Amino acid sequence: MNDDKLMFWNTRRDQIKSKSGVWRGGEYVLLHQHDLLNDLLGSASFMQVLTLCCTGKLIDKKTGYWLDQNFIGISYPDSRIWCNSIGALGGDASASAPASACAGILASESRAYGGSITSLVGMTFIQGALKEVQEGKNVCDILKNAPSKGGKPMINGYARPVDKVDERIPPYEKLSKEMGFEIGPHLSLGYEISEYLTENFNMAMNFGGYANAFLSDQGFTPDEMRVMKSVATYAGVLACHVEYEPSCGNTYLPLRCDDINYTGRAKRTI
Amino acid sequence: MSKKQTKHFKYVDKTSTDILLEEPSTGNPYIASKQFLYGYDIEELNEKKDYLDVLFLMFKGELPSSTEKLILEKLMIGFINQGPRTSGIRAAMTAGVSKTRYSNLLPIGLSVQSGMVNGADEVMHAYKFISQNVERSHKDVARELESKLDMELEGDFRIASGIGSVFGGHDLISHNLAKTLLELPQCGKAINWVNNLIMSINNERVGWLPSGLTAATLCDLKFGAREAAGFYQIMLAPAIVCHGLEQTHKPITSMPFVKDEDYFYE
Repeated sequence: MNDDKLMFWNTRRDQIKSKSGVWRGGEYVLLHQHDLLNDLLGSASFMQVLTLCCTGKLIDKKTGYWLDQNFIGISYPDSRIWCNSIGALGGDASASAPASACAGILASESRAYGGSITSLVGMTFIQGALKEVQEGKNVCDILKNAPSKGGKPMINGYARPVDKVDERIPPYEKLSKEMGFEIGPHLSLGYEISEYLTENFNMAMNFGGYANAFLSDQGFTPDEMRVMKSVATYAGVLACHVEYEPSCGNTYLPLRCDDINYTGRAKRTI
Repeated sequence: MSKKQTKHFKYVDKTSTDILLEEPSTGNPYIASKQFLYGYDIEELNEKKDYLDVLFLMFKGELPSSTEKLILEKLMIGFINQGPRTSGIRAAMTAGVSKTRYSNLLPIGLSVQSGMVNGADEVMHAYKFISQNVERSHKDVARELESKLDMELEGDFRIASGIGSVFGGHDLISHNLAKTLLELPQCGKAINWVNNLIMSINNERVGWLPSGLTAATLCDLKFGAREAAGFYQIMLAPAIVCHGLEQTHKPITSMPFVKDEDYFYE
C-alpha cells in the first residue's frame, strides 16, 4: 500500500494534536485556551473546570454553582441505591476506594438512573418535545408517540424506580428561584407534561426530568450532559464504600444459601 | 397519600437465578455444601468435563456438543491475543507500566474495549445485525449497505457493526480465522452469510473484524446478543491481564512518552 493511503495513520503515529489542552512541564497548563494554574485556579469552581473539560465551554459561576448543587442531588449515601450497593460491596470486600468508585460509576451508567444515559435520553426527549410544540403539536400528541409500556408512557425523567414523589424537586425549585433563574421553555413544558401524566397515568416529573429541562434551558446539549454526569454518583458510592471498610467480609447484607431463589433445571447427571 | 401509594415498582423478596443452586450445610445456612450448575453437580462436572464445557454450560444452560465445542475453541484460540496495539491491551499495558494497582488492569482493559470499535458493544450490535438479516439475501443487504457508505470519510469505516476496514485494509487475522471456521464441516449459517455478504461488497477494504466474527460465531451457537458481548469480554481477558502484568515489572520509562515537540496544541 502506498504512503498516500496510509497518510491518515502516518500523521498520527507518533504525534498528538489536541484541541482540549496541553501541559508544558515546568511552565504552564492550558485548558481550552485558559491557563489552568494562573487563570482558572483561584477564580473558577471545580464544576466550571469540569464543564470546560467536558464541553469546551467556560460557564458562568452561577450555572457552575447550580450544577454543583445538581451533583449533590445525585449523591445519596444510601447503600440500597444500586451503584451505592456496589460501593458497599467493594468496601466490604476490601476493594480499593478507586476500584469501588469506578465500579459504582460503571453501575450508574444505566437506563434506569444515574445521570449519564438518563440525561442523554431525557434531554433528547424534552428538547425534541419542545421543537414539536413549537411546530404546533400539543402535549397529548407528543406523549402518544413516546415510548410506552402497558399503555403507560415510559419517558425518562417522569417515573422513579423506588418512590414516585421526588423529594428533591421543591428544594431545587427554591434554589433555582433564589439564584434568579427564570423558568425557561423546556422546564415550562416539563411541568405541562408532568401535569398531564399525573392526571392521566398517576406519574409525575422526577428530579432527573426537572434537571434535564432546566439544563436544556441553560443551553446544554444531551451529549454534553451525558459526559458531564458520567461521574455524578461517585460521592454516594464512596460514602457507602467507606462505611464498610475495613471489613472481614460478608458484613453487607449477608445472604444465606436459601436467600437466593433457584429457578433453574432440576438436578441431573451427565 | 400513604407511603404505599407512592411506589411505582414492586420489588421481590429474593433474588432468583436459573444458573446455580447452592445447598446449605447442616447447621450453617450461610455455608454451601454442594453446588449445582444448571442442575449438574459441580463435582461431577469437575470429574467428567473440561473448562470449556462448563463455560459453555454457564452461558447456554446445556453442555456443548462436540461440534459446538470445536467451533468455540477455534474462535477462542484464534482471538486469544489480539495484540498489544489493541485498545484494551494497550490500556492495561499503559496502566501496568505506570504502576497502577495490578488488580485494576483487567477492569481497565475491559472498560476501554467495551465500546463500538472492536469492543463488547460492537459484538452486541453485530449480533443483532446478523440475526435480523441472516434470512435475507446477502446480495440485497450488501447493496443496501453500500448505498449508505460514505467513502469520503477519513480513517477506517464500518459497513455494519463488526464488518469494515482496519488501517485502510481488511483484517488478515480475522480473515484467516474466518477461513478456518468456514472450512469446518459443521460451520454455521451466520458465518457463511456474513462471509458471502463481505464477498458481495465491491470494496477490498471491507472484511471481517474480530467483533463481527465473534458475533457471527456466537450467533450460530445461539448465545444471545448480550451474552455474546459478555463472552467476548471473557475472550479478551487473558491477553489484557498478561500484557498488563508484564509491564508492571518494568520501569515507568519502558513505554514511550510523547515529546513536547510532537504534541501540538491547536
